Amino acid sequence: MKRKAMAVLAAAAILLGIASTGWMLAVVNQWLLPWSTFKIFLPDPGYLKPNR
Amino acid sequence: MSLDRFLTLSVPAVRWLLGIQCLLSGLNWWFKILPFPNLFDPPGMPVKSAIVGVMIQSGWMFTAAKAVEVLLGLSLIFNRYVPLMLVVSFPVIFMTFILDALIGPTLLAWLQGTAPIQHVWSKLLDATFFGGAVIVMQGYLILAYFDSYRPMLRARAQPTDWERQP
Repeated sequence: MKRKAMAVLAAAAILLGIASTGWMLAVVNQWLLPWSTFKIFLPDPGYLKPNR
Repeated sequence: MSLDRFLTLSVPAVRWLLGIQCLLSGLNWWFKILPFPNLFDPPGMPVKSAIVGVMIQSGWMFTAAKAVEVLLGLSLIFNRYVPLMLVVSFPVIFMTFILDALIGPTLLAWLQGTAPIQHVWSKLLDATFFGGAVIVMQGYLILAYFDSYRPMLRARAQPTDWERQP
């Protein structure tokens, strides 16, 4: 039972981790994705403007 | 793959996922690489919440949080002092989770007709993919390293007995 619960938590951690860390890696310096993709998480255009 | 093998392999996988995320998020404070707040952003830039704005204005609080994130990232990636850093960084990670997970006001605004459903959807995604992801990864790693914490969980711990020390 303990092993199964840990496996479920591990699977959730890996799935969520790949989704969030994957997106973060892809937007580093707009490498693979533009910063505007952040809009889906925060619909505030002022937040997305690159400063430099 | 057996369940035990999956559990064994999942620990380094989650360590790397959370480590890279924390390292990038922390480094972004000093080197603008992500669409998140940065030390050199013009004052008054919109931020996720008023609390983040106050932490940035304090001049040291957000910097301290980001330094902890960088240290956690390095610890997880290089597999050094992992149980210690998981505990040290827990307040920062929990704060990140809480900031993203508090969607009550948005839900209320939507129910009152003052916020569009897209705003609720974006808050839910934010709560799941950022706040939710970091707390699930951190929680999993803390449980995975739980044996390291057992000596700390004694209700009546004893200090060093100097009279018996050589």
